[in-house]
Amino acid sequence: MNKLVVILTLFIVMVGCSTKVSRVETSSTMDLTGRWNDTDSRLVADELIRDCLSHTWLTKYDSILRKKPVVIVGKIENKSHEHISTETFVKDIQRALLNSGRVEFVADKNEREQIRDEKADQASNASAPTAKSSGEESGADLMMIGTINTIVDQEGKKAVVFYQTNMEMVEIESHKTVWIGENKIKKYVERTNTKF
Amino acid sequence: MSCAVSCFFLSHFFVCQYNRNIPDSKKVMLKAFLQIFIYIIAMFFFSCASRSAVRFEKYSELITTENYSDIINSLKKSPKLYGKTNEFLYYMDIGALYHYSEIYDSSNRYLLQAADIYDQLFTRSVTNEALSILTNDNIRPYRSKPFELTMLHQMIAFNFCALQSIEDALVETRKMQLYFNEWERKAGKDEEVYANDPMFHLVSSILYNAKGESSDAMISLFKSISAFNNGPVALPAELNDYAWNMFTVNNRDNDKSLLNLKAPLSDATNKPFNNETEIIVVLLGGRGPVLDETVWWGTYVRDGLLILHYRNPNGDTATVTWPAPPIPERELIKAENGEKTKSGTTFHLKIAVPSLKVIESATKTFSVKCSSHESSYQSMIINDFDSQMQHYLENTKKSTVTRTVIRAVLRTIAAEKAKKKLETDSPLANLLVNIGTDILTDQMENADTRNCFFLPKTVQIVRIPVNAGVQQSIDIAALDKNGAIIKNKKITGLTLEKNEKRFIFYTSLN
Repeated sequence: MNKLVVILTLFIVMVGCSTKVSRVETSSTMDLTGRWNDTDSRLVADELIRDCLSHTWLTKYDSILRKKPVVIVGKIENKSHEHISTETFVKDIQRALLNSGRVEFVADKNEREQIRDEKADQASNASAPTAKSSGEESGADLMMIGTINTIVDQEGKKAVVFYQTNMEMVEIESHKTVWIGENKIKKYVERTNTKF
Repeated sequence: MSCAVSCFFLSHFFVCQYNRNIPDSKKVMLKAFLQIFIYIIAMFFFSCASRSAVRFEKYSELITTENYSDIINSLKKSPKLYGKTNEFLYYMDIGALYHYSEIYDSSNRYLLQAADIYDQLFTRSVTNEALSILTNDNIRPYRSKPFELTMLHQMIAFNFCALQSIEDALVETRKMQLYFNEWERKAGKDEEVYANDPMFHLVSSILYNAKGESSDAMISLFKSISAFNNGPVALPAELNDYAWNMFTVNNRDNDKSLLNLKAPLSDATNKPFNNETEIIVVLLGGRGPVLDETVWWGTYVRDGLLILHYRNPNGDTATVTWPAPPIPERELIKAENGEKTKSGTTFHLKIAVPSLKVIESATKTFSVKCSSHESSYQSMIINDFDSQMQHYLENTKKSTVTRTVIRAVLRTIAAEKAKKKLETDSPLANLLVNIGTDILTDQMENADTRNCFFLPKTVQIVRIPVNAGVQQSIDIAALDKNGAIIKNKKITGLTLEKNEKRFIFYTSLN
């Protein structure tokens, strides 16, 4: 009987220790550490773009100029205490804007370098009808820039982390800021002091 | 270990021979099992303690060859040299070595992993802590000394600087500031406790300056000077002058008096200003501190002798032996009558505490010559890890000794009880059982000598203001105490943009 108990216990421990994987919905919210995660990136991007597209600056393009504004996403500066993947956040912003159908995008600075290298290569190597000509790039009308800040209030195992994301839409020609948006997230994180 | 095992089996033999109530077969099997179990446990505790010593022996000389990639490959093949309890050290050591190899992205991969492990270790295991009270601190997961954690985040910031990402380097500044805040809160009014780092705040000041955030830069500079003033690293004279001028430029005259800054001796023609275009050379020199043990241990053999030993990290040893009085007649009578006797039983105590072992290094200072400047720049020391370790050991001495003494007493009481249970009517059997028990409990007592011994002795810095758009080259030389060049390196093709701060890193661990 004792032997059986020991064997069963060992079996349970071994089975309990194996790695478990389960697939979850990409839209599901899972907070493991209290740090900035994919849910934060997605929610902030959606909220900010909803706010951005509901403001009057679009009227100028819709009603007066009768064209979709061309936007370029500039620098999203990380002024927080965490290494946040701003590239993911920028892609979420671009996706939300593009999917609204109300704006057009042009490539950012890094992407333009790559494209220009490709054009230069085509000019030397591609056939005349197929080579893309230089000097035909679309200039952006507006640039979107932003910052992510955090304020942390911490004592021992408890911490309150406040994330503030600020975004601005700036007219490139006039340097006028046509829209400022803000999103705040507050998290209460409590860690365990001890475990068995 | 084999001695201990022999003692146990021999004692078992004598117990069976001299004990009038010979145990039945099940009790004999249980005793044998117990002895083997205790032997395995003792081996485990001994191996925990000896990993630090093995790592140091294996890599101490190799590090001077500066063949970092070989050491990295060797470490990666031997993770058992660290074990689960020293996971933090494993990642930090490899990260540091990658940094010295100038492979900055790989360095960060490992250092950031070490930072994550440190966060996870916030939660302490109750059973692990309780077991460490009875055995030794080496079974606790290694959580780093505070200055080591600072240097971890500093190296991550350095790596980001080398990868031209000042923004990510500043994330480390903000992260580390949270730790400083928490340590300050815990320290309360005790100014001796390490809660700020002069090097870290100085580098943060440079980084904030690089981003054009002059207010934050001045706040960090203030914190840096304040930390220098609190010790243990002395404020370099050049930094005093620099801080004086920067506070003047930024209209912060009150800060100069708060920090007791001295006015520069000479009125420099080229005073620093905000957002200056600079080449910043960060120099890591010499071998960092290593921890060893100072041990006191002694055995008193009843009716035999008293032996006392002492050993310190320098290898100084002392042994004192006094003979005990001869076996009293009453004990002899007891033995003849087959009664239990205390004669031959031992009382053993061992206390081991960590102590600093300074490794002598040839590299003392550095000089840097820039192509656009006539004279060389001498480096200034912004961190000294020997001083930091000494300061840490002094601050934690009370708690370490208290913990060690409590552990030694508890273990001695447990050992005495075990010995009492095994007392026989034979002084020889008693002696063997007792020595075996003493050896095993002795092996359990080891000071926690773990530390990141791949850290340099000093972190030094040279700041060279340059003109933007002009190609520069720099010659870096590591110098010994007489100013002789130990090794040097030339870096060419440096063209900086306006207000840029370009970080260059150089290591000489010899």
